Amino acid sequence: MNPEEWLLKARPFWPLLLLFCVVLGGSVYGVAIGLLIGSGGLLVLGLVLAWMSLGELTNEEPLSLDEALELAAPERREQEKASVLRALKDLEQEHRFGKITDAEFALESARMRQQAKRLLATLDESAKARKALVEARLKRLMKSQTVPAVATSGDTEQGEP
Amino acid sequence: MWQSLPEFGSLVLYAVLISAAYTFAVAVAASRDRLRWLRSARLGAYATSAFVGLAVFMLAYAFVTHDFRLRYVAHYSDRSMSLGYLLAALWGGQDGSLLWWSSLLSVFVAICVRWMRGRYRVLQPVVIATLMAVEGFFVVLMLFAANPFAVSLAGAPAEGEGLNPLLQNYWMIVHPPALYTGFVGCSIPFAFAVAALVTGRLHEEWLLAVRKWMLVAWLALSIGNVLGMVWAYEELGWGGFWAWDPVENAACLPWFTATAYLHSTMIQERRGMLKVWNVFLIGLTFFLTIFGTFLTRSGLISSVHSFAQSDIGIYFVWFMGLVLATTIGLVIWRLPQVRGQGRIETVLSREAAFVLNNWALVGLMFFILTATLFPKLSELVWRETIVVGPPFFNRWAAPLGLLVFLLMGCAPLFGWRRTSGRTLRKNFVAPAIAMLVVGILHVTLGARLGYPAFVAKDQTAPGILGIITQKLAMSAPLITIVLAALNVVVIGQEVVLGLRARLAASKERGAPEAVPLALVRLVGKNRRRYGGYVVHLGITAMFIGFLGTAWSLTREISLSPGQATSLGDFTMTYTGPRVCPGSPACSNEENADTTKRMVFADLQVKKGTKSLGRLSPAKFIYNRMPGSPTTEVGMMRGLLSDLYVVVGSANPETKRAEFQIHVNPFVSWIWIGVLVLILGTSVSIWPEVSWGALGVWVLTRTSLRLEAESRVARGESS
Repeated sequence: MNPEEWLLKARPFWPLLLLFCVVLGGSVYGVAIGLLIGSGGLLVLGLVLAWMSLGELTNEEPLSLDEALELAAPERREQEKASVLRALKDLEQEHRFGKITDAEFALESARMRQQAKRLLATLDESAKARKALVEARLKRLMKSQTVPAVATSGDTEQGEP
Repeated sequence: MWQSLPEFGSLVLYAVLISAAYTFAVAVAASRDRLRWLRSARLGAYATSAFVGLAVFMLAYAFVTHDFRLRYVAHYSDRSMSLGYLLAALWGGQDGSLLWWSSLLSVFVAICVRWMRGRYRVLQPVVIATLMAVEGFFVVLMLFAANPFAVSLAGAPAEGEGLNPLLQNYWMIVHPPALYTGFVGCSIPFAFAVAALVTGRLHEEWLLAVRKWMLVAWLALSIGNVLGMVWAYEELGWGGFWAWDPVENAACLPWFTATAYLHSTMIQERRGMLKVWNVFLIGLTFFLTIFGTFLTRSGLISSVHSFAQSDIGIYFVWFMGLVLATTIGLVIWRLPQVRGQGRIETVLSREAAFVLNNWALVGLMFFILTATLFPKLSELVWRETIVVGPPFFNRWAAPLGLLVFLLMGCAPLFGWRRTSGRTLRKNFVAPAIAMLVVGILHVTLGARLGYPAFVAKDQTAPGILGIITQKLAMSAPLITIVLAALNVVVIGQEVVLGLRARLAASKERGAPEAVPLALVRLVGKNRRRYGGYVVHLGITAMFIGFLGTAWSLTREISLSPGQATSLGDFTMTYTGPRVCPGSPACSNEENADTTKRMVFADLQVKKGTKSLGRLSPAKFIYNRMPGSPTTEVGMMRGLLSDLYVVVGSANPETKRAEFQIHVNPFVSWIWIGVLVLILGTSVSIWPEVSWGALGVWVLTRTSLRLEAESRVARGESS
């Protein structure tokens, strides 16, 4: 990894590094110097970020995988599924607490389960091709014994904040 | 000294404006699925935040180095101020507080943009554009109407004027940032609502995104408002914590609409109803945060909290108009999509209770808003000066508040959609018994303990309405205590029901759980529900604290050294005045403080036969402002009551002092309540499902990564 790539990878830690410098400078040379260090750091940070932002406008290259993943998002049906399952959990709890009658629970629960099933089926269908691809790749990687490095790094780097 | 600091500071503000405008334009363009442009907008938002941070650091540097060339620094600081107050002066005046607002917004923007990484791709560009528009507005205000880097026309004075002594209080250091955090936090839900309306993605996605942000903003608003109460209670010295001051009122208005939203969003999530109402509530909450700021800064109303009269009001009027027009226009445009799907089937349902609760909260907000603005309206329209004072607010706000308190207790007893009569009876048995028992105990024993169930109140309005409000005010203590019992028992019942169900289920599984473990797991699995109940407990404690004002005792008395007086359970003996620095009785710290002259009037306090120590209410005369002495309260806090003493004057010759003594029951419960509220909200905010845990999403990412790795291995381009 060249220094530029390394710097870009460490981007989330820039503000922390700056804060550290401010605290260190402030405690050694006084608050005013600490504030000046902070000002200088923020000026550089702002200019670099603005420059990078402008660079993106003129960049004709297709997105790299990491860049694409940064902008990717779970699809709408995933969120709907999460909502329906959460509502179903609430419903079951209310039934256990005696807030709703058995008949109402049966009716509402059947409706929600039907909705959840439909969503799961759609999601499974859309994931089938990707699932097969992952399985095939994993099998191949298992053979070459490089699975942990690839799978783990991929997941943690792109994990949610 | 940094010679070019004022010019450079203004230059940085221009940089913020340019960066925000650029990011806005790029984000708008990125909404046409241009991914590179979206990346550019994200970076632009970070850059804007960095430039705002730079401006704040520079102003802080100017304060710390006493650069009195800056008008703002000269006006709000002097060389004698400690570092803490020098930094607090950043938001002590109009110009700096606008920069402070802007900086908090930039922190929210940076966190939000980072948080949106890998999610909400369609909403992101509009969210960023909206936030940049808000940021841009505040920078425009600073650049053209209230520049904190403007220099004094008369040149740099040798010494600054100093921060208002009333603001030199610990709570004043933390209160404005907390309140501003709440205000600024409401920008994020607003940005998401606008994004959902613009893009037409009006399903659960934006609601889920907004919930946590609104909770964070609501929590900060709650803390900010309560810190304001603490400051007023400790510093203003009139004996209470809430005076219905216009600025206090303006600060609490968004809290009501945010609370309403946090409840009504559950109806939309569960039943797909109230979509328009929820968008309206978010828009209104954001509008009220701007309106509150406008009220404090425009000089429209006079208040102990407001800044000097200025001409920035018109900017706010235009911006508020723009916010209203945008929200209403977008809702009308998307009306066919935002129409609710279901309807309330019966009033015996949780959604009906939530809707009633929403109406009461929004009604309370409108009442406070109208009553706050009425004197100004009357002056403008009828040219008549009308004073709307605390008695008027208390008369009408108390019944509405109690209605909210009642609904807060009842709502958890109802099920969604409908609740059968049998279920309802079963659910209401324990709370009803508790209310009855507590009510009877209060009526029979309350007066004997000093907390009567009924208090004397004058009829303050004519006619039947006047009689009703009088009777309500008279029985407010009993109603509050009974409703507090309802709330506590309902929450207890909910926890017990959940615990029983969990224990039974664990036994069925063959792995029985101990009660504490089951309780922890129950809450852990249902953080939102039980976090909400903990918040309700906090609010109940706060209601008990508010109720205490009905039983407060006040006495004004003039004492000579050696004389004693009693109030409630407390006996106070005046030992004489003490002027610091100078007196041998002063502590080293008091003698070392040369910024002011402190006149203490010491009292020895006893409760029954037990000595509680010395109380030293005082008048502080600051060297910078000798004409405006401040009142320093002497206070002894307790769970049951606070002893609160203010000294009016102390004659140095006769040594006679005038005291105002208050015994304020249960005030500590307000502060305890807010701590419980913080705990509950924290439980509720904790994430239940992370996107990373969603199966297909993980699968998609893994497959993409593996595919890329294999391409790289084959030497293909990505």
